[in-house]
Amino acid sequence: MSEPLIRLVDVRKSFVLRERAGRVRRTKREVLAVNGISLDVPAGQICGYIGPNGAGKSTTVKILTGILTATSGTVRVAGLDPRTRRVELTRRIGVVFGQRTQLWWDLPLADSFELLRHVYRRDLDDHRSRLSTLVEVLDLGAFLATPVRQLSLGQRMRGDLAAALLHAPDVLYLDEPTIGLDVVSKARVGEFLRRVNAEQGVTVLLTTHDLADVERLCDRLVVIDRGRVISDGTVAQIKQTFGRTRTLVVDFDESRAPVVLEGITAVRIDGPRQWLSFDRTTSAAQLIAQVMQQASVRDVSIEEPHIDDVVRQVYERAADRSLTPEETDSG
Amino acid sequence: MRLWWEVARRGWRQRSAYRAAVVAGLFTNASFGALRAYVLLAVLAQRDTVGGFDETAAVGFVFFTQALLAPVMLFGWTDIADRVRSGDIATDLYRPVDLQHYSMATFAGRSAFELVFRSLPIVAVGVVAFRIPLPPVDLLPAVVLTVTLAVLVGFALSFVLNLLAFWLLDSDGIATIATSVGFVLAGLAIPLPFLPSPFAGIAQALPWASMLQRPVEVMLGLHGGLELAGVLAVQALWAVVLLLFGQWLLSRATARVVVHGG
Amino acid sequence: MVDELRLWRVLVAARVRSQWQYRTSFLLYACGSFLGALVDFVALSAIFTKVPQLGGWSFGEVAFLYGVSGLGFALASFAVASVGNLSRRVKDGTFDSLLLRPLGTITQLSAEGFALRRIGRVAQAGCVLVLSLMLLELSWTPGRVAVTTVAIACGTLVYAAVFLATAAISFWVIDGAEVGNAFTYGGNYLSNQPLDIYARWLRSFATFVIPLAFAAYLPVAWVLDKPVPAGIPADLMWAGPVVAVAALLAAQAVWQAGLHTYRSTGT
Repeated sequence: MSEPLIRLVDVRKSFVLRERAGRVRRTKREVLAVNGISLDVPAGQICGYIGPNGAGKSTTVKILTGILTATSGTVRVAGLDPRTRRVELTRRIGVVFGQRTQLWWDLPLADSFELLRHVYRRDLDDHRSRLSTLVEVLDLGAFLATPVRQLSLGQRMRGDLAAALLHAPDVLYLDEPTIGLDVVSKARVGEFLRRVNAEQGVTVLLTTHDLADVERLCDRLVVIDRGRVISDGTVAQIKQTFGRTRTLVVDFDESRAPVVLEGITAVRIDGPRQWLSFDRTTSAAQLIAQVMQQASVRDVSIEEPHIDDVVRQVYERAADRSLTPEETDSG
Repeated sequence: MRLWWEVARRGWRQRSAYRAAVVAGLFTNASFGALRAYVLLAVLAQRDTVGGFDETAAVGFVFFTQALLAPVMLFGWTDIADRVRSGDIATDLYRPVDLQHYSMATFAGRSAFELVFRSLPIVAVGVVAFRIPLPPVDLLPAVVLTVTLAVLVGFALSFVLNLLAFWLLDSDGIATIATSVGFVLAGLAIPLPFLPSPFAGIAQALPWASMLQRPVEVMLGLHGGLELAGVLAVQALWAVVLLLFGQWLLSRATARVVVHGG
Repeated sequence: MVDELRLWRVLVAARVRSQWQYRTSFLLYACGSFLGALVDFVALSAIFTKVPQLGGWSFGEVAFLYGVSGLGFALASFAVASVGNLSRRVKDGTFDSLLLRPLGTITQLSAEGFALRRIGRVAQAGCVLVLSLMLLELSWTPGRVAVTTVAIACGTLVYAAVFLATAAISFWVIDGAEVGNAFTYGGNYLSNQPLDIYARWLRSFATFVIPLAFAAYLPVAWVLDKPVPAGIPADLMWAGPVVAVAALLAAQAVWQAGLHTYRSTGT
């Protein structure tokens, strides 16, 4: 398949905000929520789409799903333009909002699935086999008869995932799917997504603030800020570019003065333990050897840059770059 | 005292934030006023007076009741009942401020806003479109008093009805009946004196009448001297009775919450 | 279109099933709404203890008008009043979920908010209608029966159009849909009394702007052989069905326009 499944070409979206200026008057202000985003997502990819609050993530997803129409630019999902062929497109996509459910609140979970069968006009056998697989994999059996409003957050999330995949969509959009979930549930959801992606080739676009999820799941990470893409690559690549600092954690036999060696950029000390920060280009093995020559070492370990720190650096770098003279002057 | 003022201001703000809703409500009230006016005019085309109301009084009645409807909050004030259903009421009851006083302050703020931005415009429409009679200047103190008491009765009654949500599992059905009945008893469907004999008298004695029917009669100048004092006294009486009942209900509710843990 | 109706039925059936589980609550509420509407009629009839007619119509005639008008309104309300939930759903953001399904937004809103209890109003209007038939001494020719039935159908369509068009205001002005009450409930109230009692501008409005006259007054006047006030040609009544359908289509167009605006401006 040469054509990417999701294609955005120079998409812009502006909103007109009416604000109160004083007691009676109202001013208009144009806000560019999405400011020229171009993105190609090939079929079968799990793509993370992250950015600080207000970056334009939700707006992009709304444009992709047809909820909002772009002000300019080209949008194609599975070859369809969400602006004009929204209803047709809904059959090819599945959406999970972390904070809102797509399920019917007052009805038992099983009823929601049955209604969805009708809504998506699914063949009965197709539907049944897919449903039983999903129920098994997501372990929904125990609460199929429970009304959705009585489900715990984790249970509801799994229900929403099943609902989103019931009609065999080509694309799955996830907006904060693991928010509020405990560690075990998060891992399960992650496993499930990888499996669905691997077995059925479902393309996934994941919007989240939980970077551990991103690291665990995503082949690719797109970072946006202020309506623009500021970084696009694999997780490894981003860490390579922005996560330059690794840390050597050394437990000495006894407290001693901070280690001074070429390559060490910063030192933190707590008793006999020292955290030695060093740039990626320096060999860790060499550093360990040198440290052990200096003093008696009880134990050693290496900390990789935490994804949170890496991404924070991405944001900061972008913020620095975007501070032009005009922006610093305006109030 | 300062707290009371701040809470009242919040009540005012609650309404002022929704401009569209205020305008929409105004439009609806004025429209119903016009429609009801036509019906009564059709009745009074055949007789000079009914129940002491002539054409001018009837049309005035219709618009004044529509105008007073919002401040008195005959319908739609379900804040407390909602909070009872959602469980949020527990935090309210644990606060060191008496819930009835707090609610009264909020209510007062809202009513004040509605009086200025809804009631006055509706009366203006009535004057322009139907030439309704305005109360003479020397009647104004009585008008102020009767309207204040009406709002007070309105609050006290709403508070009691809302609190009943604690004990009535499904207050929705009861609330609907209460709303429809209240609608007629307040004089909104037709002026109470238009009702056949025993009913008119009974209705006039009930709290709903003290919220709309009676105060509007005062504003139309239909009561003077001793009668006027009587109307105001009945309003005050209902206010006191319902407020006390509300306090009692509140204490039972608080006890219930403490025992059940919210 | 047929498919949408089928899905509407499926969604409504699910709602009804879940509401039926709380039978007592439903019955209480239905009774409440029945009684409420009944009380309204009783207040109207109280008028007739003081005067013999209203705008030249007797009690039985007014009751018949009330029944026909009320039934059209109650049926429309029963079917689509929930589109009014648009306002709340736009405010709390849950409207977007409706755009993600291969089903019309009107269909979804009216089905998901379906309230079985609204049948109380239908019952009330039916009762008033039956009562009026007992009061009226009228020979029921097939023509009269047909016109009455078509009138009720037209009423349902016209009121449905009003519910739709006024609810759609939420797409442009949040909380603006409250104005709709003046046209839905106000329209019903207006229609319950003979148009004769209203000022000329209001009569024209109710005929040529919001075609309420076609919903009850004109057909009923024909059935009862009542004269029609100046300014409204009586023959206009025969255009009723066309007008009603046109109104519904117009309302749907307004909704689509609103949806288009929603999608380009967000909330």
